[in-house]
Amino acid sequence: MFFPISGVHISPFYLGIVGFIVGVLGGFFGVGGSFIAGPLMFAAGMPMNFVIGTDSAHITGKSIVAARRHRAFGHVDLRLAAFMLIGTTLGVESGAQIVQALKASKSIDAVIGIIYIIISIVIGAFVAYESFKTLRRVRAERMTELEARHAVGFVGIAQRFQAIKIPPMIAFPASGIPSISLWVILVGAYISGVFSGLLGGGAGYIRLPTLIYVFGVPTHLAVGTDLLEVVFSSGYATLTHGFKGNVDIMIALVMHTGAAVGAQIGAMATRHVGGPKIRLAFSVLPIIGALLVALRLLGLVGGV
Amino acid sequence: MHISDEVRRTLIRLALEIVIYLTLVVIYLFLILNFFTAPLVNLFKTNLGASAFLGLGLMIFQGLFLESVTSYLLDRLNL
Repeated sequence: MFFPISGVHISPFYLGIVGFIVGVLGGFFGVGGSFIAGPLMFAAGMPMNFVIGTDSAHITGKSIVAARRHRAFGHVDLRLAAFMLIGTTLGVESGAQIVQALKASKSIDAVIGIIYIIISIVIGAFVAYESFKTLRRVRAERMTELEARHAVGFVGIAQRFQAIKIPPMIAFPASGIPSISLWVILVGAYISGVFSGLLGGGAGYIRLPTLIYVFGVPTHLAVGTDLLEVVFSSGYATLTHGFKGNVDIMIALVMHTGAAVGAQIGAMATRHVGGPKIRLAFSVLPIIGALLVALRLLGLVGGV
Repeated sequence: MHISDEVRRTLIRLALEIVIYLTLVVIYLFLILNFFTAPLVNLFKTNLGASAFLGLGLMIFQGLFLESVTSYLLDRLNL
């Protein structure tokens, strides 16, 4: 099928399946799944600037439903989300400006492609490491999976960041944070925003670990707060990339058809088949994404 | 394997939710692809700002409104 906005021929079934995979993975990894959607779109032959903008548009639609559900369960720290929004928005705009500069210099495919490869390998390695350590703890110390995950977590990091006393200091009672520098929040949000604007999607793969390990937000609140931030960051990224001519809305709508169903199935499946073994098995997917980007950069793939 | 009534009810609701939501999303997609492709392409070429806002609106509509319609229909079916 020809998509006239981005000028590419891609099978709508392929896009629907990519959306479906992203939807299911979102349930398992607890983030949007743009880190796998981007490489799969790029491997299908889409220009990189359209990959970034379209990924943001598609993630916006998917995350709105999920964020609304988490909000209904009370799993969102609205005060924290509001402060983070300042840094997130500035970061998204910075990322989008970098994309424009790379587009103008005709080096966007290579630079963003290499960043995708690095991010994908880091995510895959981290998920594999965390799952492997959790599995070992569960077996060796007869812990439950939840206890083992807490034991594997980097609890001390959040305490160190909360000890930074650069005013103004603010409290987030809903997240159990008695005092933290506003600058820590703004810088953390800004960095995740840059990744959202630069690579597309909501950058939950950066924000979620930041919320948990840097700010010290409890996991269930971090997931809901991250999803709300994803709505705003990917929504703003859709707008700013739309203004810059980087969004193919037809492709985003086709992908969301698969993602909508995948998200429902992913959310259900995690209740029955979740756990470190599944995460360990899935950790190979970002690596496949990295491989696909490398193959496209080498000119070995580029059309579906 | 024995499945309790509560689990059975939840699974039926979930399956129906997926079927109804998928049907609505597919209808919405076909309407857009059949009737709005040319205007959307034209808008993209002539007014990027309006195209950006419309694109975001279409995604929000697909994500939020269709999900609300699905929930409404499920409530009407008393599930």
